[in-house]
Amino acid sequence: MSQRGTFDGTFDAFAALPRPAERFFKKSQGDPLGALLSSATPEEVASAALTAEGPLAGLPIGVKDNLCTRDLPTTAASRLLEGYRSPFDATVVERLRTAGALIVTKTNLDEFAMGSTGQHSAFKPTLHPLSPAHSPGGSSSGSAAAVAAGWLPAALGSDTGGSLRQPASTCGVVGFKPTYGRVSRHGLIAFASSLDHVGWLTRCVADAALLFDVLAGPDPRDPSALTDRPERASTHPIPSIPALRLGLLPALMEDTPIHPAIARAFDALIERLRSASATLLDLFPEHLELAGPTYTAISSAEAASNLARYEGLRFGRRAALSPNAPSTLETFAAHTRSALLGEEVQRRLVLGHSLLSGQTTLANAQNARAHIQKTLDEALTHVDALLTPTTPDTAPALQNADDPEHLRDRFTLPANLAGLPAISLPLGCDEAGLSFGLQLIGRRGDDARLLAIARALEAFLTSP
Amino acid sequence: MTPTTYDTSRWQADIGLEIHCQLLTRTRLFSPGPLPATTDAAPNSLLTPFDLGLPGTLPQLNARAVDLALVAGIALGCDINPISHFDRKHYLYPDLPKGYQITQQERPICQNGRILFEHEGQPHTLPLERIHLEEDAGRSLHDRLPHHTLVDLNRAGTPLIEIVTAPALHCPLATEAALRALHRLLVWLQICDGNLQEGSMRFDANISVRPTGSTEPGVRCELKNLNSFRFVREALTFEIDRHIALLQTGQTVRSQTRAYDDRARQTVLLRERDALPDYRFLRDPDLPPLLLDEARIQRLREHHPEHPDALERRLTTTFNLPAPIARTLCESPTRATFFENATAEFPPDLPIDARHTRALACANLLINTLLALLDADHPDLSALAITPAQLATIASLQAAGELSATVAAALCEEVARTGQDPLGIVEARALRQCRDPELLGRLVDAVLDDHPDQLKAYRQGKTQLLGFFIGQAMRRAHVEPDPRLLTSIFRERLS
Repeated sequence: MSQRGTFDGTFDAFAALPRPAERFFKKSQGDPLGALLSSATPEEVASAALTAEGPLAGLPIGVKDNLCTRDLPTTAASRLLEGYRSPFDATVVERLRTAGALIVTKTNLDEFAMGSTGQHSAFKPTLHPLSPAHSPGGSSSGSAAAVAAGWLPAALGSDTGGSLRQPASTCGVVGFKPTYGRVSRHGLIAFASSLDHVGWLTRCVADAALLFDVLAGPDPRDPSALTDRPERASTHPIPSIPALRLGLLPALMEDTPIHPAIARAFDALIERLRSASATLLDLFPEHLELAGPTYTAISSAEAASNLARYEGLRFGRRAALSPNAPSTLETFAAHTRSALLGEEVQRRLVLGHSLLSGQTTLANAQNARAHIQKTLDEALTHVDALLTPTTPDTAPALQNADDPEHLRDRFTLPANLAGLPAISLPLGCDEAGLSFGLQLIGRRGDDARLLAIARALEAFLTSP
Repeated sequence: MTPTTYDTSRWQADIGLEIHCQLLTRTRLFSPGPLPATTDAAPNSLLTPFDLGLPGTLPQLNARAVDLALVAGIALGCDINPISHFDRKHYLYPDLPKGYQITQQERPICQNGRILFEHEGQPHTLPLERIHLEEDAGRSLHDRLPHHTLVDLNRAGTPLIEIVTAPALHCPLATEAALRALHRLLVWLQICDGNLQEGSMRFDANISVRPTGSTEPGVRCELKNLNSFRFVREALTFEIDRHIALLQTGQTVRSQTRAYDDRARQTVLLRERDALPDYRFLRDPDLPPLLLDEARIQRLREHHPEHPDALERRLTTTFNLPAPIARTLCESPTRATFFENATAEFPPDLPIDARHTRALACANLLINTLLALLDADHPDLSALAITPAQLATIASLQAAGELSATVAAALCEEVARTGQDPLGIVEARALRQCRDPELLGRLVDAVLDDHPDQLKAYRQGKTQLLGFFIGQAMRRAHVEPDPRLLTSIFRERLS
């Protein structure tokens, strides 16, 4: 993928750029992290900056490359969509522009957002900003790396099973995923529609709240979008620590092998919160142990369905056919997909198609999902939010980044299955200096309150 | 063709129908993309990103299409599901842009219900299994370029309802009657334009044959895309005979999908049905369940128009109209409404005979004069300048004998073109028939005086000369005489 408009220090446009945008072009030069798939030129950004007005005026923002943009290509990091240009902006992109933000770059991801490593992009792997031998996590790897590296104040991502909170956790930034339907999915290239959430990565919770107020709200172009107006998050009163009622999930924690540094930091936080008079309850929502297989079944089946449209006929690329190539549509599509889709995507499609044919597993999974949703909603009637580590481990080394058993997704999957808002904020670092995060899962629709609680905890964590 | 060519005491056919009807909406089922109003819209000229299946697009359900499906459900006496779902049906086809079709498989919008129809003078009821909503696919054009298939997606996403009947029909003629009744109702309710040639309504029929008395169903064949009532009847008749011929010679019927070749007048094999395609249905995760509140259904029930059969009966009894005239009036709602609005102008205390005469005049003017003015450019009565009240005025003048039928028709045509006040025209041009006995008496006398030979011949018994005298009188008159009055005066003078 070609890099457009990499800054070489001689552009006249440079002077017209707002400070943060200038910083983006300077710092991201050469993209040593493999975080960016395409970028606007400084001239383009400077000209957009001239008319930018609104709460985000002049702020450079990166957009995960599975969100449609008119002016930059949209590829979902797949060869199949190489060179594809969407005729429309995703609703969130449109809202960013209206708020004055500058869309400066499209960030790298695992192909079609499938994978949790940043290594499954068809174009290049994303590297961890602090340690190039490690994976930043994924699939919103490019967005997390660019924010963590200080190139951008914020970047949009998507979260289907933790794709945004996990890289936030391993890269030491804030990752927020709102209630399902709170933010429009119009313009998000679908992976698993019922699990996909648009979310964002920022450096602090206050920024996440600011973006929430710009991006959340009804959208007639998304039938699953909630129709009520959300409460404002940036002005929501921040609760005091003694006023916090938080739930812990001891059964889920015991069931998961947790990195000792993470366990220590988490336990220490609980102790500190107790001493500061916060209320902490042990809760035991049932069926969470089914989250992994349930997620695998539903996400693969929906992915197989959503990707049915990519047969190489109408948009993106088509595989070159050899002279003796098959000529029926079916074999043509199979050939295109085999040649142009990565292994990870193909693996999930094969699984998804067989699940759709069988139906029984899928029905069981839908059933389990309904249970998980019910049991989490019930747990949240006792507390304002649930508290877990975001990931049980820090950033994995590149060579063993894959996690076929979804061990790393243990804590993030339930919020996607239930459609609940969840946020990851930095909790600490291990001995090697690799970050890990703290996850809060909020009540359905109560995004503003969750962000306020996260702000309280963020302040508490950084206070002496 | 005879209704049954086979021995019903030995064989019984079971026929079920699947009817696709294109809903009369302006936009598509899941996008605001317009639908081709005419078939000559340039290919792929009307599409939104969703219609193309572009990445990142989401379906937006068309509320009007839902209402039309509900009106159909109400008209056919269905149970309306307060919660229904949309499902994806996956198959790979060049004109299916998303790789799947959105339909309702598991829980359709309407279930049960029935089609009421008449067959051999008897009322019949055909039970329905379901009505579901689904989007149409695009069109693949295989014959435009050699070795290439072109795809026109203008039709993709057109809203359809599929009506599925129970396999409760047993003869091709009854099947045809049921389909005609359904067609009439859906067109009447403006759910579907009913154009069979253009595929606005398409029929599939499932047919099986078993020995009479056997409860074991026979092997089923599916006849696809029968696009006329006649083809349905002929294809089913052929198919029943084919099944019986196989069964009588000890062979087995194979489960097949077949088409009707109307030139060869026979059904032909499309594919064996042994291996049914795997559609891998999935509840559409982009579309929330369709929730229908009672208020919405109630509102549609209250505005549900009178069915054509009921209206036809009412017109026949209220105005004592001949059945063929009532039926012609009930061929379209606009026509019937125009007629009803005109007759609403009649004075309320009119005696039954007078009401009948006026209504008949109204109906005749409407059918013979006004409908004749309609053409492709003005397909609808609303394109004409005449109002129902003006039609009532002309019809009343004619019924009262003030206008002759010819003058009434000419006047009607003029008002239809100009919209001018008919009474004004009548007065300005003195179009009223002369009904003055004295004046007419003088006219009669003058005619008889001028034709002594004919008068003599008449007196000698050549009574058919009455017509000649009347003709002469009509020709000579300065204003048009009332022919009835004129005739009676002639009779009186000649007797």
